[in-house]
Amino acid sequence: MLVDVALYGKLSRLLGGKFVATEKIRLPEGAKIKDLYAQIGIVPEETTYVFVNAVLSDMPGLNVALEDDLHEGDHVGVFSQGYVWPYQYRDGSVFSERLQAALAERDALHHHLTREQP
Amino acid sequence: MARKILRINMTDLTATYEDIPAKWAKWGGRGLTSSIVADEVEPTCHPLGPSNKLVIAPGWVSGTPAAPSSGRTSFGGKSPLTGTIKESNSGGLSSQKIAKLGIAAIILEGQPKDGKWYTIFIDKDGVQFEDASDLLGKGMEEVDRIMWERYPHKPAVIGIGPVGERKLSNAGISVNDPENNPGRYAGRGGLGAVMGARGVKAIVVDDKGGPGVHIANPDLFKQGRRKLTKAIQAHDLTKKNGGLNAYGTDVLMNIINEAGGLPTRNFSSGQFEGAAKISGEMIAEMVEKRKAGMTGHACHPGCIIQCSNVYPGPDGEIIASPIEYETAMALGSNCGIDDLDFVAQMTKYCNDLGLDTIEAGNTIAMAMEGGLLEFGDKEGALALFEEIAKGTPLGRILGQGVEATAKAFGVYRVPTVKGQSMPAYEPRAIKGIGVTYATTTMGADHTAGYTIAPEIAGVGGKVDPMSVEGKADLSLTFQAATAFIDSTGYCLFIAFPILDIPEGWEGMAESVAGVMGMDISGADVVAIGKEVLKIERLFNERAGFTKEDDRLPEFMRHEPLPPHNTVWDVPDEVLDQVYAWVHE
Repeated sequence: MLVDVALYGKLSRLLGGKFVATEKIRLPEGAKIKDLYAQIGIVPEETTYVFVNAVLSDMPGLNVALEDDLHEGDHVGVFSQGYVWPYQYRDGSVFSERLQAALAERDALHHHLTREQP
Repeated sequence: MARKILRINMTDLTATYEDIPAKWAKWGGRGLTSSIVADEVEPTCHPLGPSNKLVIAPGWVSGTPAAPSSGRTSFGGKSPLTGTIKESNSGGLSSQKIAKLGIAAIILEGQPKDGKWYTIFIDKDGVQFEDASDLLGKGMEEVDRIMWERYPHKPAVIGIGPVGERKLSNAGISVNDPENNPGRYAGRGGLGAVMGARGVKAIVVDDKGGPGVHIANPDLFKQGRRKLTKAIQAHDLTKKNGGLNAYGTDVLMNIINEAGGLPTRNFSSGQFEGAAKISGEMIAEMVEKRKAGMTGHACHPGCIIQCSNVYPGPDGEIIASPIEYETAMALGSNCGIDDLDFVAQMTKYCNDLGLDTIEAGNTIAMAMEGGLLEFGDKEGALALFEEIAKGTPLGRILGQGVEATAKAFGVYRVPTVKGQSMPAYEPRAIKGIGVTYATTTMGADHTAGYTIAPEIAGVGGKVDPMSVEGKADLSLTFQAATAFIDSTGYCLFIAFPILDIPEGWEGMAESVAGVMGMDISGADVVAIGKEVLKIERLFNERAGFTKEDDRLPEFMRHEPLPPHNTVWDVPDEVLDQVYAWVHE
């Protein structure tokens, strides 16, 4: 299957970009986010926000999207370290179920890596 | 030396220094402008008439030595755009210079009997009124340049462009930046028209030899300043080479687009296919490629975040500073324009003519929706700024902002609250911000509700941000904390580190307590912020606003927004909870 991938920040260098890179990536049927990462060389710890079809699926320090399934034609957006999406501009947007569950177990306003105990 | 109120009466051309009355003594910045406006401006007055006033106040810590990123000035009055009370906040040179002259606030009132225009020069020796007829019709680039030629010591220049002279509702107030460019704006709400209605083209402030800011408890101030500085320097978003320093506020463009919340083609979609081309990352790339301009630009002396930028054209010539995320949304995605050079050219027009970029871009989008030109027509969009510059009838309509333009073109999809158009976060996709847009005292405003962590602020119990009900409590807490920060003179972007780093939060409160001699700590921030909100809310009620005005536009309730295809469905009862406490 083909998946549309956009990498932002330093990670974009993996696809030949400087700050932003987009590319269609071919993956085997049944592939998950972690398989996409493995194929293009993304280390999960180097990611912050991850979107699948405009659904926020991962946040800094969580890495809960790795097992999310991908499908033909999906769009995946991956942001590098250094990006921060302030809470007030994120509250009430669409989150994946797995991310919602992860956040429910943590600080409700989970915001940022530098927080001492995220 | 105790702070003074400088009252400038344009009817009889007098200036008086008054002792600050007890009722205002504890306030600075937004708290002070809103208190003065609420006490002295008749809420039902016409914003352009003789009863309105323009109040200018530096924050509590502005002008103190080495308080980080503390050069924000609050401008207050009754807004011609919204009809509400307004506090619009700017960087640039003015805040620290006004504060160092020992002035807590400038109250600009009355109107010249002779219909003439004036420049007001303020220094340690007092106030001079000077004929401004030679400056009329000039843009702010030229006005700033002339003022620096005319006056010594590189003064602050607070001014209005031709749009403010014409008293149009999207007229902002320009403040020059450290390089004497006019990119720093108290943009929102049309306060430039309020200044124009006083017959004032520019206010020039020279602080040389001024008494400086009295610090009641220097040790406490230094302790707070140190904690806050450390937090700003440690946080990923605000540290050197962090997100804001490297990419500017337009670092949000790609994130909000990926989330499906980027206003596009007059709020008809939440994603724009050209978003990456107008993103902060692309600004950084252009600066690098064209070997001109810069990222990491400071909008005022002493800023350690330095999120501004200077955008270069294809030949390395400087086009405009800054291109903010909101600007790139309004003049870019919301107009279907994916060309940064054009976004920069339109920004230059805004800065020179004296327009708020958010309202201006959303207005062009409205003209596109109304059929005057096609979405994506960048040459056509640029030409509309020429109409505004010339003051043609069409240009005057466009200078009035989104609602007036929507009426002129018979458009129903009007993304405004209380007359002010929405910034760069689509509330159908990002619902929390919609609660703030709907309820803030300012009209749709993205800077009205910056996040604080309730547990750090010491308010309430654990809120569930996933629930709709929780959003009312969160929005109120955020709005209150923001009203406090807007009163400090600190840039609102300190909200990011003080949210994540508790010592930063303490440091902010301690530095304020140190300057003002107030007995406050971080635990008092929200309560003090709520006092400001109450003053503003009650003014709006006296002006005729009710809870029924705290609503998002009707079309958002039934037009699904791609790609999530969601509508605005937060119940009115939730919105009504946000300010229910005011009368309890």
